[in-house]
Amino acid sequence: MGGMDLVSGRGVEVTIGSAVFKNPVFLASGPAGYGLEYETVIDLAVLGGVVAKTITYKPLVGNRGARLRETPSGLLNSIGLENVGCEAFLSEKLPAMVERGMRPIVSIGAEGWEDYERLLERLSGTEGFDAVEINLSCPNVDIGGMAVGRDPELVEKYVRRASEVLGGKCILAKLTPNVEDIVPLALSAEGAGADGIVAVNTIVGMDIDVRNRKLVFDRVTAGLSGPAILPVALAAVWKIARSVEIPVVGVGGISSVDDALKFFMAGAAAVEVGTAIFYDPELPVRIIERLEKDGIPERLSG
Amino acid sequence: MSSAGRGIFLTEILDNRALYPDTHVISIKRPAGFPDTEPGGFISIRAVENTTPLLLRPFSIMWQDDEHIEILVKVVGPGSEALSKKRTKEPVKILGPLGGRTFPAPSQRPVILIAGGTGIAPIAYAIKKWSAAGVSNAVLIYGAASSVGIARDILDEVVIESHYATLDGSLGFEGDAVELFKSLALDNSLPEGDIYSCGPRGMVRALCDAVAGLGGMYKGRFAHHYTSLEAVMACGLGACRGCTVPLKGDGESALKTVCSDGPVFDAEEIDWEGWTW
Repeated sequence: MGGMDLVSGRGVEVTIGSAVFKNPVFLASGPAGYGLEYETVIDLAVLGGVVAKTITYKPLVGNRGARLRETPSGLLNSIGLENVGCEAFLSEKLPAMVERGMRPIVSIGAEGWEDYERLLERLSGTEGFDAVEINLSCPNVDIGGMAVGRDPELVEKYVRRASEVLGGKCILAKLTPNVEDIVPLALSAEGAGADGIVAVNTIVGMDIDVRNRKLVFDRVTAGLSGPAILPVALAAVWKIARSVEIPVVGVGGISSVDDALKFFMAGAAAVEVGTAIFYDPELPVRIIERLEKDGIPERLSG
Repeated sequence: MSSAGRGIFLTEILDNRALYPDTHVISIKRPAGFPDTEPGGFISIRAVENTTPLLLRPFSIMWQDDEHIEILVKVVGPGSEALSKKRTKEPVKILGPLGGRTFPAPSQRPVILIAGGTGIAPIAYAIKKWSAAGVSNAVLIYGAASSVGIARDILDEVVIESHYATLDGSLGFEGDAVELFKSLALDNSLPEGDIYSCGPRGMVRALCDAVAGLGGMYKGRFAHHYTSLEAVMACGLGACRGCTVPLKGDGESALKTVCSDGPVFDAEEIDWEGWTW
């Protein structure tokens, strides 16, 4: 069941920068870890891409305290970029992903500029992947993440450096919706050489344990994902797609095949499925099957 | 436990019987290809077709044979409530088997099984499975709020030495399972052996304190204490890193995931003080 299984005679490949993906359905960074944990549950090799959990130069242990809280049709998380670090990722996780037929997209994050440069240096010239997603939008860390991604000038600086150091690879910039207007961020990323925009990361939210009069999360706020945020993500994609020339990857709350189609109609060139993998692991495959059958929906005018 | 054969399965409810008003034994048809499991292993179930509640719900396997997988569902929120209303033949999606570390099979040493409330589920599985395998030197200590909460019939015909504790004194010892354990231990009524526990976090922590507090001639009698933990989970596979438990370390405690590093842990290694969530 590869991307070129042309049920209706239509191809579903998508090209972003220098990278050609066999279909436009990716796994979003975070929920599924490095994809390996889902190995026996779903065949991730059929997806156009698997965005691995964000890696930093050094391993991060992540946040203490509660990390998950359900909300109506949503999920708050405060994982805090727990990851194995770039060395273990490159020596263990990435080769294992490739060996299992996955098309890895390496998500990168940093605790500040020096950390970021060291990570880029380590990744430059490394084989095994041809696409990176810069996580400019994690709301659950103090340094880096959303703190950088809210400032168009910093977005420009981070994206430009990645383009310089990782020249030749497909550079995606994942943006935060936690700003007054996401379009300037997208324009900055595009101007700095990004090959595609990924919108959106989680929305800042919080919860309170009423019975115990206690905050749920140690860091007070957390990131909201799941079906509840789809309208927000869709509006972001709509606006960005009408402002930039490069492809937009839509992510946020996709919970059904129709949800994915909405993103294409809003102007996305590809979609990522995140939180839905928890409760409907087969959803990405159903989306691919539909696209192969009916083709990729054309974007709406307006 | 290996992840071989783990997957998402569409199956159906075979039976749903209320043990008492808020607690149900749900029997699910074991899907073709669903692997054998060990006590402590669990499954996650999608309780609703819509997205509230969003996540699958994890349950210890209480029994498994060629045709059935049984779980114990106590109604504590919308997910368990929806599950408690499932009827025979209703389709249901399960993810499993889950768990990276289950209860170790008993060696020659006797085992003291201690359960609180619905913590009886993996303990009952252990008792039934190991009894069938010829393990006979086991003692059960089982506590609940009242006699209504002591589900003796889920152990079927398996008979092991059993001691019951109820907070209201309506059955057996008046008090909780930990107090009963202490009293039996100090009475020399328990064999020297390993503890296997499952219950509310406060119970397991108190049990650790009780074991540590046994001095003098009782010291070292209960060399190992394995406990099966419960946590809010998203993936159940170790991917999302959402269900952490802190283990004692040299400096700051190390965070492990209940779903894939456990759910069974060495109780003495848990940083109870640091586990504030």
